[in-house]
Amino acid sequence: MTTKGSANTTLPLLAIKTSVLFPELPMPLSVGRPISVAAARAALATEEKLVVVVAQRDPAIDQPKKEDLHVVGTRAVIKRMNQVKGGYELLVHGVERVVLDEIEEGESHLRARVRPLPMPAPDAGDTEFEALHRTVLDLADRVIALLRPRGGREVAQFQAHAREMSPILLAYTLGTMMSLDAGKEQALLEAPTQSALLKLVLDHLGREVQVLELRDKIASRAQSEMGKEQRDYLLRQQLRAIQEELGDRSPEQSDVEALRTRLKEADLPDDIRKEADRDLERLAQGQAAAPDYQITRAHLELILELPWRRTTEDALDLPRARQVLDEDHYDLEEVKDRILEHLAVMKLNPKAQAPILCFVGPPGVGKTSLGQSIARALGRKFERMSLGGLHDEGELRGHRRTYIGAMPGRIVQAIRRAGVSNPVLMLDEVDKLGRDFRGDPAAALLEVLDPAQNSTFRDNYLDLPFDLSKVFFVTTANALDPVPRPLLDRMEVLRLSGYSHEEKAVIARRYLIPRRIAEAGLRDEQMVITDETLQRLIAGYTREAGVRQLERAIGSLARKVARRVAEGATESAPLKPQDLAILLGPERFLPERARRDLPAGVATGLAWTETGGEVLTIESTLLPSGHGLRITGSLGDVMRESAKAAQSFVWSHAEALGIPGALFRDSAVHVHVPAGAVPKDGPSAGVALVSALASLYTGKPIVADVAMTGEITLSGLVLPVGGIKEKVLAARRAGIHRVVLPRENEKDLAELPPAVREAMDFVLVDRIEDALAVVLQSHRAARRSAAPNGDRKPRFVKGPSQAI
Amino acid sequence: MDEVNPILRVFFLAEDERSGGGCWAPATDVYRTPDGWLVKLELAGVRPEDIEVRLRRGCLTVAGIRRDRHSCAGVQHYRMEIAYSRFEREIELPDELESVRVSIDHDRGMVLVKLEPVSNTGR
Repeated sequence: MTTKGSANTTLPLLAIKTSVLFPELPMPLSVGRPISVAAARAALATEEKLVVVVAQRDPAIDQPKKEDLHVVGTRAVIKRMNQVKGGYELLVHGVERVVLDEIEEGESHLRARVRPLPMPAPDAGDTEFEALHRTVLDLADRVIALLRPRGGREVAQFQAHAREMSPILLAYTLGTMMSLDAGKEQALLEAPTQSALLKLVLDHLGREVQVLELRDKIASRAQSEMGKEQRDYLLRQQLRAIQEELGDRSPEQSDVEALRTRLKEADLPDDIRKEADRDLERLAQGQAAAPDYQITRAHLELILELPWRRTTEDALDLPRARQVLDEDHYDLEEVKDRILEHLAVMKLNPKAQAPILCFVGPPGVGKTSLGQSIARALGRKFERMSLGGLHDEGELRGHRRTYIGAMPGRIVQAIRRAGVSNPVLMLDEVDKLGRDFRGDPAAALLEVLDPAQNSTFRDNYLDLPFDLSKVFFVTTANALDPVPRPLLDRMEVLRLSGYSHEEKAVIARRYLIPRRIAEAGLRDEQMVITDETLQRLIAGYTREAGVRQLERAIGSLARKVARRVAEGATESAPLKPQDLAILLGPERFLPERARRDLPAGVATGLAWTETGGEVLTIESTLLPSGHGLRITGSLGDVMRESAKAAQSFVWSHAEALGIPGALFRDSAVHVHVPAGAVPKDGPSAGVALVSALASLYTGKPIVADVAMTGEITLSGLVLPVGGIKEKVLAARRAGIHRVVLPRENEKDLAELPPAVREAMDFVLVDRIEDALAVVLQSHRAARRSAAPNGDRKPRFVKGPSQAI
Repeated sequence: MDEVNPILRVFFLAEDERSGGGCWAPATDVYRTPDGWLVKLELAGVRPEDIEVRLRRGCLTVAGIRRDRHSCAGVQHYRMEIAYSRFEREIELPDELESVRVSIDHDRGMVLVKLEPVSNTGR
């Protein structure tokens, strides 16, 4: 330490950016800035190669001035120098710390007049300082151990050296070793006392230990994770190697090979094959563990399984088709005709579009089984899917493969199940489609059911065009109102109305009874049902438009008989009507009888519902005071208005009907339509409402045994209504034999089974007055309403009436 | 872990670069002679008047300064490996040298320091 320079020398100044040179320690420097190169050159040109090294306050400054430099720097000797392109590489060695008293800005570089700053003085008491020193040494050992976890010579040497060093040198050395920022290093350099210096170092060491330990932890965690993945990979590679060695193929390879073979054998259109090949390539390159391997594989499977060109040959034998249809279903002539017509067209023009049929009718009339019959008659495969409650477009059209768990839509799945591209595809309950924020499935159906578009139907999952134009679509619905118009437009609507008792009896004889007997394991002769019994069964145990309840009832009978047979009963007497009460319990439905001897103000109307026709009783009564019209019975707006129109008509024709005008002013009227809990609506009760009110005001009861339907206008016209067949059947069920109908509905009578037409009388009317003339009885006639020669007895005729 | 290397290098610099205070230390041979000790220091290019020799107890200190006499205006360093500026070398000798005669000699760039104990009658 003999080198303490003389006070107040002026030396070239070398500003450094990101670190601090400590006394007694060397530091390699790369000098490139012109100002620094010039300073180094000036120092080298002196005999002693001395320079002042000072840290900059802000490393971003390229041309530092006095105020940009720290006040304390280090006087240093340039030990080695090597000129390189663009500057010098220097090894400088710190000599002592100095205070920069003055800085001269020379032409090319800075020069500083410096005065030595004595080394930090020892200050604290011996013991405390000693403790500080040892703590620093301990922590330093830990830092070194963390930096060099495998120990070795370097660590041992450091430990030996560190214990020999003076506390100051130790502090400076550690300061250089830790990656401190320039500000902290400068603080070390400027530390006034040794204990202050050591405390600073201690702080930094503590932090360094924490950082290094954390880094170690992170590194080891990362390593262990990496380790598992690598281990898996290695094992897999080894497995592959073993399999190759054994001549086996890797599982993926054999999988891919199997798919390749299937692909070769599959009958695919060219563009589809291209896509399938691309899938296969993707599989061949990928690994089974890769997430998209399974996705691609499932997609390829779907492509392979879809019947792109596979079709069934249509059975174009018309008589045979007719036979099949007749075997399966009774009547339904219109539908059968339509199917046979289509068959004929197919025979003449094989390229013809398959029709899209829509069967509308009450439950249990055989819509779904008719679809099966069509398939059987045509020799096609049959697939059925229910759309009831479907509210997600994606269900129908599939989800894109990017989604986890994506699947093809129901249509494509149905085709895949069918295994041919021309099945009969039945879309059940098309009127019960839902819709929500996920899209409108009806809109997707539009594409499916449009012959112009469905030859290139694109499922989101499949993402390839599939030809649906060969598919024979059949949809079913209970009612058409909820079916969106555009969808309805695309379909040929065929109505299946309810069956009459006679038809039900035939259906039961032909289809239901044999089927149920067979199911119960009986022989035909073991259960014989007489006609009378069957009639009682139909009338007393079922009330429906279709035959589902009936079939259940027959099934129930069959089971009971089967039990008797199994229990050893030998005699098999035909079932009599009185046996039904024993086997099935008391009759559930008393034969529906329309009310006889109606009081004035009560009329019988007819209603149409989704499940068939119904008889409605319309009651009206005069209230002792007030005025106006009170309407109850869960009636909809249309029906309420109809009631008001009816009252207005009766009022305006009071004179002609012989009603005292005062009655309208002095008494309010209440109209009620039971059953009160069932909502009702529609205009077709108009005639019944007028009749009820006219009867009420005139005091003449309505002829019992007559039901009526028809919409009315204020001017007295009777307009046609729908559901005539169901209504007439309902009237007949109720034991009514005369029905008043709008004349324009005459054509609908043709739909009725001949037996019904035969048994019923129809009164066709154009105007309300015609109807009233028929339904209002005189007081005298009331007692013997059915008498053929009653006073003003209207002539009930079949067909066009000569209404009085 | 590489960042430690330039730092650890501090400890493994050649001995001559590691003496305190930024001094360098010349390579030194020590001979035992019939008369006493001969210490030979490699100090080429150092003027005799720039060398200072001290002896305290058994510790010989040779210090001084090597000046670069070839840098002047118009001459620029291209490479520098010779250590200039201050040097200092301490040599511990095993004997308690109470009274010795010290002589300094130069021989072709080497500095020779002779230590010859003298009898108690000397000095």
